[in-house]
Amino acid sequence: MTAALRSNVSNRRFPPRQPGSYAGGSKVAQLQPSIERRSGQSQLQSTASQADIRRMVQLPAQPANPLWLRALTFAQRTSTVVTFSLVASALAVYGWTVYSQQLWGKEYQRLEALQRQERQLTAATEVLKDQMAQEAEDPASGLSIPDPTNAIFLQPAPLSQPAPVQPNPAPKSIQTAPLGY
Amino acid sequence: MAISFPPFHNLRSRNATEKGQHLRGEQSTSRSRLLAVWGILMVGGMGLALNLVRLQIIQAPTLRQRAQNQQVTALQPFVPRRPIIDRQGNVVAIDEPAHTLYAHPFLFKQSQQAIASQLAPILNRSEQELLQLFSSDDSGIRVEYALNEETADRIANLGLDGLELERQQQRFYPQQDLFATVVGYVNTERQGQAGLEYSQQSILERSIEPVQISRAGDGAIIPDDLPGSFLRQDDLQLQITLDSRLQRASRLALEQQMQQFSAKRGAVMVMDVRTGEILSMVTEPSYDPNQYYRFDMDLFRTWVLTDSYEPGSTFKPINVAIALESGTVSPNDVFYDEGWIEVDSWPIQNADYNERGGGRGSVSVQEIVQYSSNVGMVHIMESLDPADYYGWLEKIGLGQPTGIDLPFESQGQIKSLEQFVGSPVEPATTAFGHGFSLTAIQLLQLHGALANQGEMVVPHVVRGLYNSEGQAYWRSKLPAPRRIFSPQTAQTVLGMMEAAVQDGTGESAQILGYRIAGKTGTAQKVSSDGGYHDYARITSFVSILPAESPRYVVLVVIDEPQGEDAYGSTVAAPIARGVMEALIAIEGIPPSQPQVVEEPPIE
Repeated sequence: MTAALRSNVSNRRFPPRQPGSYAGGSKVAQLQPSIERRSGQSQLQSTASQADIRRMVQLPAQPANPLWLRALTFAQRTSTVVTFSLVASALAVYGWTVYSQQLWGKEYQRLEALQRQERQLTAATEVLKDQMAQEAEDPASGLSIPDPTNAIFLQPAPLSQPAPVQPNPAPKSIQTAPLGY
Repeated sequence: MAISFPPFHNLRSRNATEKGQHLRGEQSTSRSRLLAVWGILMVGGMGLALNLVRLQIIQAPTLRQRAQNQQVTALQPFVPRRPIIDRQGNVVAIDEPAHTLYAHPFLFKQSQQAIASQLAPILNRSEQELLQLFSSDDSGIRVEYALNEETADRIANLGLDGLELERQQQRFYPQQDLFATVVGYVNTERQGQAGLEYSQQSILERSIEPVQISRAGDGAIIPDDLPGSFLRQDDLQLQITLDSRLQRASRLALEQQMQQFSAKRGAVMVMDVRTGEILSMVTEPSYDPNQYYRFDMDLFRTWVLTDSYEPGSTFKPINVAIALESGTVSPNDVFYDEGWIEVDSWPIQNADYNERGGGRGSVSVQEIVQYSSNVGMVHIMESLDPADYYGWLEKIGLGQPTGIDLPFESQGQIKSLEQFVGSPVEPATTAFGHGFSLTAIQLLQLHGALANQGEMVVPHVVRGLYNSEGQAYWRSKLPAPRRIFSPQTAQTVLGMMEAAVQDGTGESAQILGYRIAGKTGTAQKVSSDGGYHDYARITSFVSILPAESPRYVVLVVIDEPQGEDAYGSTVAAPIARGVMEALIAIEGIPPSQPQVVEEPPIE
């Protein structure tokens, strides 16, 4: 398994030491020959690699991923986000539909109760008014039907003439002496 | 990775071989296990899929039907008939839900005794009574109807099996009999049977179809597929032109006088002459529309519209206006009143002929109206050609309904033209208000035209539909006023009627400080054999106020007052006076001749 820890860059420069060994995208340069030796591979390869190790291997600049790969990665990421948000909103919408129906039911009951109260209040008020009016008709109640003899008619006051507007006196000049020197 | 690793192939020891065989066996077991699990899962999955197909495709229609049957109910929402309000907005008629309680004893889960004892205090009935009721039948016993909502709720909250509450609507009239004449009543089938409830049925009824709704398990309504109209109920109310204060004052004045003269029936009507709005319409005896079934059917008839009668002297001012308008008579003309004449061998005499021992001699047109001289009227109308006179009677609308918005209005009756022209007694009797008939509302309308400077308006009681903010949604359309007399003629006749109140038959209608025009009428009733009753009479009084700028006309009609002194002046005029006093106070009509009130001395 340790053989897998090899740079794909070194793979390109030297013949592969282990055919079929994993040469994935490891970016770690191989610096420890002792590990390689332990794996029991051919001596030739080992020597070559030792010579190779002595040189300073410089990590190459990472080449840019191809466009299609980047596009796919981007698509994957965005679709994940979109999926999660869709799921979340679907749940929210579903929850709201259930909750709003409950809410509607409650409010409808309230509306019915209020309508009933309104009806009862109207009827009760009218019954009360009627009762009072009937009681007032009884001569013993001491109340009488309004008639002209106990009404006071006031003469409407004549329209008052607005007082003539006095023209404003010309503003007196307060400044008798110039303020400045 | 462990399974496919090959190192065991190189090992040669027996032990190793055994081990390998053993491992191979183990491998095949685990594979078969795997297969079994896979198989079970697959079969299970297949089974579920098949079941899904069965439920969703094969059985779907029946299942959907079953669900609908459980969830969906046809809900008839409580759609009240529109309320009726009076001029000030007092509610005159309103709908209330009411419940009928049925008992089905075969469904009782508790003993009848237990149920009776729980119901008794709520229904205010004795347990014995309820037990007797329960034992009368197995099901469908109507225990109580017209329970109010509270009582129904209390019964529903008991949660007793075998009781059923059925909801229906009930019309409630808070003022009981006060508006019954005009408003009418609604029967148990929700159909208006009299008055406005009948004639305005289409306006009062709200049309809402029963709604299909789904209910959740707890009975709550699922609002998903509710039609938009479910909640959109308008708040329109039918407003009428009547004033409840004036209505009460009229009823009080009428009741007192009717009692005093033991009259059979009586009516008071007040109309605004400019618009034709009826401010008050009272008939006595009346009925309580909340309990209409307890009253005689005869009372449901608005007899001021349905019954016609011979108006007698109250028609004289109309005749004078006809004569003046046609130009055959001028206000200053003088006629000779013999007190008693014979026309075509029919005797005609003044009401006060025996009392005065003769006629009044030379009298002016005004005096004829003032003292209600029959003979004088005959002479005035003799000046017209009978055919012209008949044409006038037709023009002012006799024999036609007024067009009031109350139901069952009848038209009066006049003779045919041939009959009228053929016999001189016909124009002569018509001259003092006999020989033809009209309804009380028509007499009110004709006097309204006199008061409205000769323009006739259609009396009406409906103002229109108004919402709760008082904005008009619909107003009843009225025909344009129709001119029947010139303003001068109307003014002249009003002056004569004013004299009748100041110093004449209508003196008992005087009100200090006000100028009132009026005319009494005492007419003998027509008996069934075509002649006239000796004692049965209809007394009436029509008055117009204020005379200087007429605005209101008041008509009082009393049918069959008892007693020797039962005349229009003694029976009807005092009622009119009472009504006018109330009208002055309610409408704030300033006095025509203000009285100076002396300041009390300050002590």
